[in-house]
Amino acid sequence: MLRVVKSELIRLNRPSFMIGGVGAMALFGSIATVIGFAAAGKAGPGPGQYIPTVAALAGSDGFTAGLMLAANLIGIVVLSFWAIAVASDYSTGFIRLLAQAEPRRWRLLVGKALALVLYTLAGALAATLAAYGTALVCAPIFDVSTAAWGTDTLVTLAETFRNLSLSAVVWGVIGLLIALLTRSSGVAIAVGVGYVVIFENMIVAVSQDAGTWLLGGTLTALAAGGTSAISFESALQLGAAYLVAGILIAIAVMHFREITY
Amino acid sequence: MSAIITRGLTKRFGDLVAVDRLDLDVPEGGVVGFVGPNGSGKSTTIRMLLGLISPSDGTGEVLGTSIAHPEQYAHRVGALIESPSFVPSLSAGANLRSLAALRGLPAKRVAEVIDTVGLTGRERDLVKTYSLGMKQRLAIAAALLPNPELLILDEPTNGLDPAGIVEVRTLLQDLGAQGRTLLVSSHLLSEIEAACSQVVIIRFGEMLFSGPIAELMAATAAHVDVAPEHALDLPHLIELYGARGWGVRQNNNHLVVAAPAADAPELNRVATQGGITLRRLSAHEETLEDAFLRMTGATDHDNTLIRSNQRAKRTGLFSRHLPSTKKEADDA
Repeated sequence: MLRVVKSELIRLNRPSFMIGGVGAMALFGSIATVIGFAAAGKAGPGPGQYIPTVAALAGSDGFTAGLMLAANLIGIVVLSFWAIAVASDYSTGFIRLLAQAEPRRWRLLVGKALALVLYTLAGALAATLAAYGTALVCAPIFDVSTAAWGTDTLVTLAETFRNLSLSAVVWGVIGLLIALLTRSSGVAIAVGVGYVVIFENMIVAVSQDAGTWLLGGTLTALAAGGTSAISFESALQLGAAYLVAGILIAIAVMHFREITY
Repeated sequence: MSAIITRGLTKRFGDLVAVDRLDLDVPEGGVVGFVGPNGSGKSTTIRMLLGLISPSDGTGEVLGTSIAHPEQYAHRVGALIESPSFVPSLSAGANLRSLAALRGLPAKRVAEVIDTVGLTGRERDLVKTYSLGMKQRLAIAAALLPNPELLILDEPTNGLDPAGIVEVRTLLQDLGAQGRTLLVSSHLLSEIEAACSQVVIIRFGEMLFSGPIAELMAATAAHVDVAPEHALDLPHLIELYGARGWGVRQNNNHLVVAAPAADAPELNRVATQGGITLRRLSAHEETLEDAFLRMTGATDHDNTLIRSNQRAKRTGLFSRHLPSTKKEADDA
């Protein structure tokens, strides 16, 4: 298995992935923090999203509150990142070489996922640190008190990193699955964005109960450490269910699909 | 012992039978050509041998192991399947290092194979900057990574310039001389003839010939075209040649005599002794290409006709007899 992970990491180690994936996550984390401070206390833009209050920003974990605005956006970046990594194996035909060298395809899939998890963790860490740094700059600009900050900075950063990572990995697995099914990163990204931005909001508008278990809301809650609609524990369980289901379906597709291209 | 054996190997994609009960024997050691017209099932067969697709029916063994368990022989097999396939935004070296890591091979093996295919000095260049010929060399390097006992190469000279073709041919012969088995699929039949000792010819998934090229050529239809000065002498000439045991067929105003080139002087002598002056006497030795076209169909139209008729027969669309061989197609 380590061979597969090492092989994947060699291929992932290119500027386009580092800048496009990890860099974009950090950038969105930073931008979301700026927006969070600038729009503090104003009404949220819709289901699954929220704008932090000034009080929340001034709390002990306020420096990461703005980051949650970008949770789904970072999720889409991760979904895209994973989808491109999977689909490019098919679009370039490299999958032929991979599957010939390692015919146990479940190993190829799990190894790829593990390598992508490492990159996702790096991206989540970059986003968390970028949000923290941006918050330090924004607080005085937007007159937000930072007196409570620093009491548990490391613990707060660690929890934010953990929650964002868990959410991002599930997003990634969804991207992996869609890309595996469609063999197209473009389609995978379009489906992912279309679902979160439009489809899930439409469903929740019709049935608010659905917001307590649908993917976007669940992963937002997971990233935020829980929301008013879904507790962190429920989000953790639902996220795990999405993760396991996604991986199992992907393994089945990978195992049974014939490589005719 | 055979490096590759298949028995009744069949692959169906819906109604299309891509490989039809193929019995294949590729002996261990040496370079074996694998030829067939476009769509004949070569790539499908190769993919089944490598575990990329599953057979619909039949069995097969690669290096003594069932093709149902490709993981047991993957480390002993290298392959170039159709076009070279690499990550274009990565360097050639990184692409090979990724594959080497997957196979658990040391990084120094990458330098060795790059040197073998003559890409030393270019390994840090991105693959997207490579010419088709360089990509082809890189693909051969990738196939050589595991130091394989069996190499399966699909169109290894595709995109190479003449010098590159000669280099690859020499490389293949060297690899074969080292005791490896090479199964080489190519459309360049002159290359197959030059590089291979054995050949397997298939058409629409059916094996038409398997054996030494020398054996195939010995069985080819060498002939001599003979034209008398006066067309009225044709019947007499047929009689004279027939009496001496040659097979003779009239084709317009000349005769096609089934005889090797060495018989040409004797054919001339017999005609002269019979009082006939010859206007033309030309010997034809078949090349592998001639033999291939004769066995598989001269044009894509022939093959399309045969293929569609094979389909129609299988699906029972027509009850009358339809041609499913080249000879039958010609007659039709």
